[in-house]
Amino acid sequence: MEKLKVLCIDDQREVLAALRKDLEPLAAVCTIIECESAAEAEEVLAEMERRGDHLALIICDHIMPGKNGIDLLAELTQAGRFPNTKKLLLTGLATHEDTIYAINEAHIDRYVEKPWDASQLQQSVKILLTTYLVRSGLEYQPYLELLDKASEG
Amino acid sequence: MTVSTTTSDAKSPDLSWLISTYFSDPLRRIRLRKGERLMVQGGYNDRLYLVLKGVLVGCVRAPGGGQYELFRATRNKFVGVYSFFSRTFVSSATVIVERDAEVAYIDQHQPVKDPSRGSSLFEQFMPVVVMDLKYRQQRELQIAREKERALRRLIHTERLASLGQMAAGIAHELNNAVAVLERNTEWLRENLIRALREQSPEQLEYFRLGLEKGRWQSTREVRQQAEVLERAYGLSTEAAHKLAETGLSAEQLARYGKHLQVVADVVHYYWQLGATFRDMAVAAQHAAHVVKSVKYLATQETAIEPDLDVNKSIGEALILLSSPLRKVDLKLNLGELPPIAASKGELVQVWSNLIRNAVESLATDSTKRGEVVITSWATDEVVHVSVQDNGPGIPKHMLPKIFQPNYTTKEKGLEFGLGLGLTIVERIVHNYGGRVSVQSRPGRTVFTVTLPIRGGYGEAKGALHRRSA
Repeated sequence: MEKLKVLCIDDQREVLAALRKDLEPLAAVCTIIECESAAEAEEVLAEMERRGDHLALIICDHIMPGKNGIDLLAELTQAGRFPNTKKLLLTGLATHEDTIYAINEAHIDRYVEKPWDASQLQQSVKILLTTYLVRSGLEYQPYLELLDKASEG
Repeated sequence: MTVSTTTSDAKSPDLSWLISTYFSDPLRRIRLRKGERLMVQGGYNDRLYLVLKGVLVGCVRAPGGGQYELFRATRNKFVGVYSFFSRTFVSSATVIVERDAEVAYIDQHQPVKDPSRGSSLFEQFMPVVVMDLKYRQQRELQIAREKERALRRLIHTERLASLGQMAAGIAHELNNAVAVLERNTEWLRENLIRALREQSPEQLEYFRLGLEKGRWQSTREVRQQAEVLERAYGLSTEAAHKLAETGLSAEQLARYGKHLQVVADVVHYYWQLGATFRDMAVAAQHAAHVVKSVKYLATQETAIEPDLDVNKSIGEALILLSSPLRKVDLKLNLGELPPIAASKGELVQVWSNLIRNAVESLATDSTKRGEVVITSWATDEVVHVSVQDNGPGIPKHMLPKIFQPNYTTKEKGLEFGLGLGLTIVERIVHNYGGRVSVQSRPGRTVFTVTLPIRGGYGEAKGALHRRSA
């Protein structure tokens, strides 16, 4: 069974580490890749594209130095890259406009506020990974035990 | 304030005829000394004056007490236009001499000269009257605008003051919460160390590694190291990543030989425990810094130390910022400095705000390695500290505004982007009788703080130990 890839982007290492810890229960089905900036994420994404990795989910911080999270996700969406990949935005403070832009232009699947609740985050990630599996037509039996039986749309 | 006017100004040929015809009688001239009153508001005035030299100021009583300046008359301007031409002969303003003056005048009995130019004085002086009206109108408008501006400033100040009060309350609550988290984290950490020392000294080593060095490598370095380890030891991707994160070198790991895959989990687990404690300490420090900055808005207690080592206060600021500073190259050129009378807490605030700004300006440019240079040196009577970065620089049009509160170049509140940092810096430095200067071009921005060694805050203002912002 090939593990699903989850890309986490946040400029604070402490946040990345905390995310990784909270997603530990899903380690059997997914591999977490960490990036400290949108620029670094772009390099990693290009590499994944080249290898044809199953990037199931991007968890991205909103406010980062350089390019912010919403812009990064919006660009991916508009370029039609990783069409099946689910997107979760982690945010410390979001305005109304940010939210609208995130939904309309970046096609965000989930919005999670910092500080997050571990079990809720796990639940969200499970649902998103399941949705990805179904959408990308992967054989989902091997993952079944750890993922949520319910999926979104 | 001075008002430049074109009012009643004898520039046009028409007025020069009026002036030479009506105001050249040497018997109808008055010399006035500074402070004298030419007329009093509500008093009798049947004269039209022309100022020959000096400055006269017209004031009216403001409703609710006080006075405000209605007009200001210099050479070739007319005074008494309203009372003279309205034929009420009641002065509308009190006219006081501001600078020794000489005036010429005509009175209500003045006969009309050269009737071909107009049958009455009023007709001949029409341009003067119209211009006077226009001047008064402009003046009213200007006063209204000034009032509006003052009101807006007042509202803003009040808003900041109430924000400050609220901030003090929030700061108090947060401090308590942070203190509980910090103290208990330390207690947990010490107990864990003790337990590990007794039960598994080898694991303690990994725990300490995480605790002391933390996540010092970038995510990119970790990924690269993971690939190296994966190939060198034939590890699974997960195990390689875990080992890479700890920062242990391939040589250090070699001692486990073929057990590496098995021990990876344990090594990483204890390292992660340590690194987590470190993360918590860093987060608590960050929260404490934010609280301190916010608290500074309201009131602050400052204990002035008579012999403060400025370099030491820089060192404390660097400890406070150890986490963000990981991302840049830091160079220190600290010179030998005489001690100064200052509050360490305040100076740490100054340096940490300047350094934080420098680091954050570098974060916006990911193309090159950021560099921050902190230099300190002393000359005759002053201590200088400069913080230099090689970031993109501050655009020229922003430079005059950067010390204002609420002004931030940070995008959408990145970090603690309330835009108070430089305001705080300036306020503190100013209180010590020092100054802050800035020079900026792309690739080189330098903030320099100059603090007096003697005759500064400590001596000039006495040993105050508490003051309000």
